[in-house]
Amino acid sequence: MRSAQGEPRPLLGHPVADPLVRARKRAGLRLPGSGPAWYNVAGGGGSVAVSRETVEHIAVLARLGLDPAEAGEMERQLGAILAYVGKLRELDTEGVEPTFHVLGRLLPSLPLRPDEPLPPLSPGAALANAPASERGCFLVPPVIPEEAEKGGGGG
Amino acid sequence: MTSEFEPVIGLEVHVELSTRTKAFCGCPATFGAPPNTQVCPVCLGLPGSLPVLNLKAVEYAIRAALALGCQVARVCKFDRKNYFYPDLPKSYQISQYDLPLATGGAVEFLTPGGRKRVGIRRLHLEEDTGKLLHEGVESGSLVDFNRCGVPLLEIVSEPELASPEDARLYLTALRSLIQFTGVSDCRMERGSLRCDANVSLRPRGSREWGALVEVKNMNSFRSVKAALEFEVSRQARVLSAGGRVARETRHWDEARGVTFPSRSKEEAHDYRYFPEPDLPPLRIEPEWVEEIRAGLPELPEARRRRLVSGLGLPEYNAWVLTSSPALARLFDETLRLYPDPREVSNWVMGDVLRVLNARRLELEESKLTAEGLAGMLRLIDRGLISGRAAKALLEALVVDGGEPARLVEELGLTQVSDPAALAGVVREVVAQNPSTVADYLSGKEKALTFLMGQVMKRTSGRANPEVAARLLRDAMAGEGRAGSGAGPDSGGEAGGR
Ligand SMILES: [Zn+2]
Repeated sequence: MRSAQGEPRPLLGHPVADPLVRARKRAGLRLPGSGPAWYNVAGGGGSVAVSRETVEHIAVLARLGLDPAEAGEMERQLGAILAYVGKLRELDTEGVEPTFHVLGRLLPSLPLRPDEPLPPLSPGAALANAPASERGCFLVPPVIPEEAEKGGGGG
Repeated sequence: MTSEFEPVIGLEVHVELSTRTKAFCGCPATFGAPPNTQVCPVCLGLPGSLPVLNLKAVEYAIRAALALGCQVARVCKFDRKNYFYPDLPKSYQISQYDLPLATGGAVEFLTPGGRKRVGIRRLHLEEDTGKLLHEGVESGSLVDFNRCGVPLLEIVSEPELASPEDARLYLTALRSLIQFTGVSDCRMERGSLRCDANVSLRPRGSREWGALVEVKNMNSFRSVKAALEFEVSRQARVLSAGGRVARETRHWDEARGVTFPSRSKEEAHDYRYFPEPDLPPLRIEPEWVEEIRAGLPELPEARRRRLVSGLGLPEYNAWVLTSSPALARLFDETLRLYPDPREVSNWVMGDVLRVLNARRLELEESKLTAEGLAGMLRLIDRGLISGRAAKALLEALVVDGGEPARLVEELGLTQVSDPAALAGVVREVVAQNPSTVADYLSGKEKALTFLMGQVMKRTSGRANPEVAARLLRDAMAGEGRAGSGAGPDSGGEAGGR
C-alpha cells in the first residue's frame, strides 16, 4: 500500500509518522483523548478501571436494562477486558503505523462489485418475518414525525 | 439585529449518488418503486449477509471529490455509526469516520461583493437510511427500505460561511458542481440532496467560538436561507439579552417559519464509531484517480471563463448560466441556433427562469427546448409576434412544448401588422378617450402610452406596436385638424375597460 505521504508502505507494522493522527486532523476530528468521557478509561500500563457511570451510559446507548448486580458484573468484566488489551500500552508505538483494520493484512484492498442490479427479494418476502406490516411497509411503534425528518446521513 | 455579532456557518450536505444499484448490495437504487420491492438480506440487515462495495459508487465519489478540488486518500476505511432508529435495520449505518475518502477542497461562489471561497473539510461515502411514513397511520409508523443502502456522499464545509445568503450561494454552487460531474441529480425535493447546518454566533471580530447549534430539516434552497436567518437572529436575541445559547439540535418548521429544539436526547450523538469488520480498508490507486480526473467533463468554472472571455458576457451572467448543467446546455444549444449571446442570455436568465420559478419547475421537467427558444427569438425578429406575445408563447413552450410558429397560430398570438386590421380598434380607442386624446394634442406625449395600452388590451397584445402607434398618431392628428376639440368626456380613461 501507499501511505498518505506517497511512499509505498505495507498497511501494517511499518513505521511512518503517525498517519492516523494526521488523517484525523485533516478530517477535523477530535484526537484520541478528547473524545466523550467513556472513551477515556482511566489507567494505563495494565490497570484499567471502568466506572459505573460508563457502564450505565453504554447500557442506555445499547438499550440494555441492567439491574445493579448485572451492572457490577459488567463493570468487572469490561475492566478485565480493557486491562487485557491495555497490555499494549506497555509497548513503545512511537512511529509505528496504526492498525487501520484487522483484515488489512489478509486482504490488501477491499474487493469491489460492478454496478449491476441483482434480483431483490420477491414482493412480500421482505415482510414475511415482520411482526406487523401495512400497505407493503414494515409497521413499527409510532415515531415522532419531527424525529423522522432526520432521515439519511443519520442524526 | 446581528451587527454586534457575526454568524459562523458550516454546511453538511448529503448527496445521493445516481448508481444503478445500492452501495453494498445489488438492489436497484431507482427512485419511486413500490415500498420494500428493492430490498434484499444485505440492505435489510438480515443475519449472515455481507456487504460488497459498489465500484461505481467509489468512482462517483472520487469524481465529485476531484471536482471539488479535494485530495483523494490513498487508503480510506469504513466504520459503523451506531444508533437505534426504525429506518436503520442494522442499527448501524456504514459510514466513514477517521479516514474519509477525500479531504481539503473548496467551493467558490459569486456574491455582490465579489467571489468567495469556502473550504471543504471532508467528503466521505456512506449508505442512506430507509424512509418513515406517517400519513394516515394511527397504529404506528410505516417503514420503506427501498432507499436504505443507496450510496450517499457526505460533504462537510469548513465553518467559513458568513451569512445565510452565503450559505445559499455555496449550496447552489456546490449543487451545480456535483450536477456537472453527473454523479447525482441533486434534487432537494426528492431528497437526493439534503442539507444540515451548524450555526454559531460570536462577537464581531472575535476569534472565539459560540455554542454550536445544528439546524436540520431544511427542504429547499429557500428554506435553508430562511431557517438560517431565523436561527442567526434568534441567537443574536439570546446573546443581546445577556443569555447563553444552548448547544443543541434544532428543527426547521417550514410552516411556522421557526426552528425549535429537537426532542432527541444528547446521548444520541454518541455514535460509538468502530471499524466496519466486514469491510477491509479501501486502497485507491493514484492511477485510478488520474484516470477519473482525465474523464471529468467541463466544469462550471471553465464554462464561465468561456462565457466571459469568449462571448463577452458579464461575470454575473456566467454564474447564473452555469448554475445547473441543464441551464448551461439550454444556453449553449440555443446560441448555436441563434448566435446572439446577449439576447439569449437575457431571455434565459430573465423570462425562462421567471416562468420556471413561478411554476416551480426544474428545467429538466419543463418542455422547453433550445429549438423552441431559438424559434421564438426568430419570430420576434421577423415581427411576427410582439414582446408581450413572446412571453405568453414562452409559457406555452415551457408547459406544453411544441413548435413555436404553430403554437403562435394555435394560441392566436400572431402579431397584427396590417393597418387595415388595426384601424377599427384605433378608431374606437380614440373615440372613447377624448380627454386623453386632448392631453396628447396639447403636447403630453405620455398620453400615447395609455392609448397604446388600450389598443394592446383590445388585441390581446397582438397589435404591432409600431403600426399601432403610427395609426394612433394619425387618427389623433385627424381629430385635432377637425378642430372639434374634446367633446363631453363620456367614457374618460375608464372607458377603455
Ligand atoms: Zn439490497
